[in-house]
Amino acid sequence: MADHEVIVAIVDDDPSIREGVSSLLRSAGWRVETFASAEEFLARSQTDPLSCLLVDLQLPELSGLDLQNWMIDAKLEIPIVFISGHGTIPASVQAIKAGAVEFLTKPFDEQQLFHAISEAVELDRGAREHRAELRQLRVRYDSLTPREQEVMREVVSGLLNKQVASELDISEFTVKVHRGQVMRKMHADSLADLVRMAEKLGIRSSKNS
Amino acid sequence: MPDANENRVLETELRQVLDFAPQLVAVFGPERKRLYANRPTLDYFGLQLEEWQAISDPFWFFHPDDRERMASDVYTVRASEVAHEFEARMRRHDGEYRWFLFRDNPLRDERGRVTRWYLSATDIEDRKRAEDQLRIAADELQRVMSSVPDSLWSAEIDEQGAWTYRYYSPAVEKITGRPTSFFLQDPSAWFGIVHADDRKRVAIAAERLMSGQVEQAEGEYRIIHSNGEIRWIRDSGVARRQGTRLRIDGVVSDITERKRAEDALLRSEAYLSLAQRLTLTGSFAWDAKGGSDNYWSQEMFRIWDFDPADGVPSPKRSLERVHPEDRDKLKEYLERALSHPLSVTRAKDDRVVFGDGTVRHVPIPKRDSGTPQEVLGSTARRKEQAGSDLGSIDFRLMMPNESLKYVRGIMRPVLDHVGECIQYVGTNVDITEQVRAEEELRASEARFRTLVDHAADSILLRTEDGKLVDVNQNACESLGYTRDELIGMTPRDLVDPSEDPAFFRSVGERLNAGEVFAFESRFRRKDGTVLPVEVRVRPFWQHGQRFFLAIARDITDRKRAEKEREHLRQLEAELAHINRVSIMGEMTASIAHEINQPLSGVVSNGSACLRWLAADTPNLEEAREAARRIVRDGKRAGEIIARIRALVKKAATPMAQLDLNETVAEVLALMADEAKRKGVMIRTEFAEDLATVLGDRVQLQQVVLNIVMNAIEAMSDAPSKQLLITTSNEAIQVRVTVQDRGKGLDPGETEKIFEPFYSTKSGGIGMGLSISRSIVRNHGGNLWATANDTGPGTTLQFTIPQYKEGSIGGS
Repeated sequence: MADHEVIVAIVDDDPSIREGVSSLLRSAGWRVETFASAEEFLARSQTDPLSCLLVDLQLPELSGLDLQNWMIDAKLEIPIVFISGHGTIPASVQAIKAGAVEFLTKPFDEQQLFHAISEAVELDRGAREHRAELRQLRVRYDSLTPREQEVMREVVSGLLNKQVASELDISEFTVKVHRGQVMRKMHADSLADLVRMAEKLGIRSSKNS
Repeated sequence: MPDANENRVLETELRQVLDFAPQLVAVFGPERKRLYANRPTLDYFGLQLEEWQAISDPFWFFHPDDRERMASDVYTVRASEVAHEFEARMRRHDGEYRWFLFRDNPLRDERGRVTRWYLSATDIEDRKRAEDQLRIAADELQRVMSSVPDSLWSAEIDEQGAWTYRYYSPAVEKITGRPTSFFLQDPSAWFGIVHADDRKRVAIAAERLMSGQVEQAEGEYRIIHSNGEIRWIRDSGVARRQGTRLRIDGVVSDITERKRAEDALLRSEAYLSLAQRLTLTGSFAWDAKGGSDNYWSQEMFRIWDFDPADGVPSPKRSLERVHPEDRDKLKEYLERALSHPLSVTRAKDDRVVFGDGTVRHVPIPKRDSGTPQEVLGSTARRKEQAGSDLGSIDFRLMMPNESLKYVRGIMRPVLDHVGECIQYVGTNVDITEQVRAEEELRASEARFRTLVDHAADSILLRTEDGKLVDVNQNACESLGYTRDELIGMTPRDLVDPSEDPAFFRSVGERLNAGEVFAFESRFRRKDGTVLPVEVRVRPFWQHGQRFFLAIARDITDRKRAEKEREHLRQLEAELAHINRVSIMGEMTASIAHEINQPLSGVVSNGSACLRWLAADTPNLEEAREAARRIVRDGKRAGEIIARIRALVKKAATPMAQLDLNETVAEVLALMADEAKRKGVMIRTEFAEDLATVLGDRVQLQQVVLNIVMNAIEAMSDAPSKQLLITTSNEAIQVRVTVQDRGKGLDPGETEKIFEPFYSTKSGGIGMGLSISRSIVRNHGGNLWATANDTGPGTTLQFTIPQYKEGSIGGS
């Protein structure tokens, strides 16, 4: 059901919840880490990335929502599932708005929990794949020479070789050579492929930027 | 050379001479052959010459006791053949032995051989006797001297002034502990044993005697006995001039005992004087015959304020000092006193000590053939016949400064051995203080009586047999009887007949056991109405009789007040209950969450447990852990519910010894979620060694609940929502403070918040703090609010007395 890379973190100040949910998730094969407060969680090393965060809304000191905001600010894209004793409408709305995967009201049953966790894990998997692809593109892009990068920027903006040559004040032949290198280094099958890659990398033509 | 005829004449003449000589003379030839004895010799023995010559035993005449000595002496001497003398006794013709001095002279021829012995004997019997008598007399004197306790001494001073002791009688050894030789050897030895303080005095006296200024001197001074004791001696000396020398004879007597007796007498007099001073008692003696043998003790002078230097005042002068109103009374007493003679006190033998202290020998009258005792007995009888006790008399003295003195006097005549009045003796006691004290006592009694009569309680005094002997005004008024009616009644007559007689029997038993105790009862008035009373009874002893003092208080009002209080208390309890329930209502959401927590745990753990068991290889360890947590969480939920139930229960819990840390912590556990929900951080600082208190746990928790709820509420808009709860030991109390960081109170509000129906909260009914304060005060403590010293917010604190063994808690 789940691969072993997946780690679920539980942040709840109540040991009953923490231990019960932990046991339940572990019985389903997830790796679980528990934290009694947001502060304790933040002190955790981030080298082993988490797939899901199960957070109590009413944490002492730093609340669940505070933690969510902090993670958004820190660009930590871990899917969050909120749990709460008494789900107040304003709090749940705020949480969902800020990107929470699910909002569970205690006591929740196994199916609700597993569903939410699975969803979060899937979400994380997608995000992870996206991040891996981007990382690969970035590596490829970084292997281009500055001139090649200039050529790629011009090409993906829809200019013809001739136009690129004039733009860059080089010969059309040279553009062709660079373009061939770019396609090869970027593992692009087609121009459309390269354009999509450029989009993912957020590359824009110098004219447009 | 005379011729033979001439020689014969001469011999005859010599013989005649010898015959007339007083001595006895005998002539012996060699070998002591008896040749001739003169007439006195023959007369002494009563023998003829021939008879004498015929005696063969040379010791025949000698006293048997002397014979042996004679034999040895004379024979020995004869052997040496020289002249010699000896004394011996010879028997006279009438058998009497007399002492003689013998002189034995040998006559020798030209060759030196003894041819003749001439023996003369002189009668020394009379001289011997005189000597013996003298010796006996001297011995006797010596014995006498050693038997008398006084020591005699004799000294001589020569023209150079050198002092030599000639004699010291042995008694000196007894007095000084030193032998006579000690003093005889060294003339200054005596002076050496004189007490240092007395030496100068003794030296001066001796000097005056030696210099001839006085012929006689005597003195009493101290010496140091060889055993270290100080001895008082009396030393006297008489000086007589003998040519150029001065002879002094003296007597030394040990007077230590006398001195001691004198000291004792002095002390006893001093004590008597002190006793008189301390007891304000003066003593006096009047000469009955109008003589001047009057005596007033120092205290007498002090009491009457006369100067002792002026002597004993005359009766007239004394009487003038007596208060005019008391003079006749005093005179009458003195006259009566005449018929109450005081008997003399008998001493030893025929000596008696009279009332004035003098000791006289009482001659026994011839006509009275009785012993002194019988004579005195007759006096005593006379006194008895005089009849009743005279007693004493109290009279007043007008002092020169116009102040009054109260005096109690006793006087008696003193009779001599023949019953004649010789003296009046008596005492005066200054009783001013006593009289004043008695007056004060009477006044105090009157005041006390007023006090008792005006007491708000009924006071009843009864004897052991149950009869009332005294009651106060209040008892009469509240029971409707007069004092005379009440006296003689018994408490049983007063108690309402509906009261349990068994109870009163037990009351009686406890009273008899000496217990002091109080009980409630009901009295029946004279008009039949009933009066509820609280009675306090204590037994006490006075003059050997036991009394019971009962103080009865009308408790009609108190009973009513008690009922009202009880009603109020119930109302208050109702209100407190309502308050608790309403707080719980306010906290419903929190409480629900609080129970939800463990419940969620139970659900999760339950699911987990099932899953662990359902796996292909069931993980029993995990399943067991999960099941264990289910049990734990279930219990936790149960505890929360129990706490809530306790708080909303209506019944009062009993007072118990409580640890306020625990009590407060339980409330905080209930409120943790509420606080969390409201974003309030609760911090606690509990004293570790907090003393316990006696209290109602639920009520005190309600107080904490109210205060903390208010504090959380007060901080709803505060930027820093921190709540600090502390406990601490005060001197005799335990203090709990709850400090919030809310908007705080206006200065006038700190007291107002405790008023009923005052609320700063929009939804509050305003009873919480009012009820809380009432609860705390019922516990003997206090609850108040103050503005925080630093920063915004309010501090509410309450104190509860520390628990002490045997203490009775509030409400």
